[in-house]
Amino acid sequence: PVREPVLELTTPKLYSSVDAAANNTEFHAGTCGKGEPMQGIPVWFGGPSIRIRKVRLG
Amino acid sequence: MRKRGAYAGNSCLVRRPVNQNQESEARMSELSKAIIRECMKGKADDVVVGVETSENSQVKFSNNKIITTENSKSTNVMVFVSMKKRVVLTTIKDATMSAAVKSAKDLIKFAKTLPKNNDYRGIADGPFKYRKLNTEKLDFDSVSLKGIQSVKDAIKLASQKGAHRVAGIWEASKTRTELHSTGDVSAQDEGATFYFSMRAFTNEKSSGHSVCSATGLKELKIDSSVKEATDIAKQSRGAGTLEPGNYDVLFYPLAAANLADNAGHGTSIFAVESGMSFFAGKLGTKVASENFSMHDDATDESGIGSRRFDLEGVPTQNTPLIVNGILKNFLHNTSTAKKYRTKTNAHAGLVSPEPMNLIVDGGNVNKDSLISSMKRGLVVTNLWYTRFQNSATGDFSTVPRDGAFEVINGKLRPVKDIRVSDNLALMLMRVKQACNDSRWIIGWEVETPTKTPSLLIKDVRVTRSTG
Repeated sequence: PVREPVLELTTPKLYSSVDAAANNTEFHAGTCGKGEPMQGIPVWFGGPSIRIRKVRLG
Repeated sequence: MRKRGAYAGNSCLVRRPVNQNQESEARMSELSKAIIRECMKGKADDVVVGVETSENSQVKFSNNKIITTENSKSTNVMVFVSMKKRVVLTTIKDATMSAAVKSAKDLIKFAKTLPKNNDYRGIADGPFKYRKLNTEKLDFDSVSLKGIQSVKDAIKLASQKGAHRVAGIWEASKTRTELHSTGDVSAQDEGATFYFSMRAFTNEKSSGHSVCSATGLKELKIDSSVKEATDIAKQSRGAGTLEPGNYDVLFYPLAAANLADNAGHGTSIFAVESGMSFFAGKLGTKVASENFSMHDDATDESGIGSRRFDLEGVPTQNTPLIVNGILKNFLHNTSTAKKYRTKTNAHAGLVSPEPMNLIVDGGNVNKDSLISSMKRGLVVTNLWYTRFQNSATGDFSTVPRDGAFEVINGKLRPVKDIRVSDNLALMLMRVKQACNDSRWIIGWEVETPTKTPSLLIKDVRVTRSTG
């Protein structure tokens, strides 16, 4: 086990590094918020476990 | 209880005669007492009812135009009940008598199903004396019209100063709070808050952000905010990359407040008990450099978090949190104070004690002079998405947003695409200097009104994406 690895990537690099997706799709309920004024909207998000290759962790 | 931006809906600009205001105040008082009576009928032990009525005005602007104006009124009723140590708290939005009484009955039924909270030790015993109210008489209709003109003037000024486009918001709120409890508390508070935020762009990638807030309209320094936002946007043109590494970083007030607010929330005893504070177990010990002091003072009426009493009616006070680096106090309500054999410092939060008006002590160094004297470092004007990997240890990261600048021999070079990835507990230990430019900050990323100067922090770890 490792403690608190840091992954810092750009979005294009993240998605282009995915080379496999598992069959364990999960979804979670959440709230997407904005300020001024504070407003939230219920959202639904999720997906499977994914594997990304050749990225550097800090 | 004064929450900036608590909007319940739209209303036209309506002038309310004074006698209607008094009628409304009497009704809120009767509502509170009716809820308490209903809860006591249901065999509650302690009841606290707080009613907050607000009038709000907002002007939003984007792409150099006013896009929305909205005036609204809202009433929120907070009800706290304990019954044989079964504790429940709710907010009722429908402030009609029938709805409130029904909600009280439902709350009692719900409380009976809950497990006991053996840590609960009661609410404050009043009555209390409160400091005098210094409320500006506000004609909210004319305030709203002034807001529209203020925004028009701000957009024009930003353009004159070189911004290609601007976006932001002007807000005003007038709030009245009525609090009653079975601890013989009967308290009233009133106040106004004003807020302005502008993000200025000189092209798609160069921007500056500034905010200001005040409890009086005359104290709202909009022109200064416009100038700061446009200056940062102009300076940040042509931003390049930065090598990751450790830098001495000067955080402008907007950024420093982000860090201070997170540290301030860590002083709540609730955060300590729930494993969300890196101050746990450190009372009376050194938690910051001797150059860093912070207190929470809801009696400071220049801050929009100021109030006469906390959420159980205890008169607010100035609470030292960190003095010359030493952690002096955690934030308590009556129940948590009894558990820790101390006195409440009036920061209820009946579930979680909270900071109200955080103030970081300023220094005597001019910010520009400090930058001129820096051989190598970084200037960060704003931070966004400050998130902890581990609140208990303080490991976190945050994204410098808008203008960020490498300093080389006192000269600024704009940079972009960097992240501060460090430990906030250790960063507090490395505060080297506080400047003399303290200002009140509030906003999306700074939840508690926080007055802070620019802060120079040594050896801050700065990273950039690896791909």
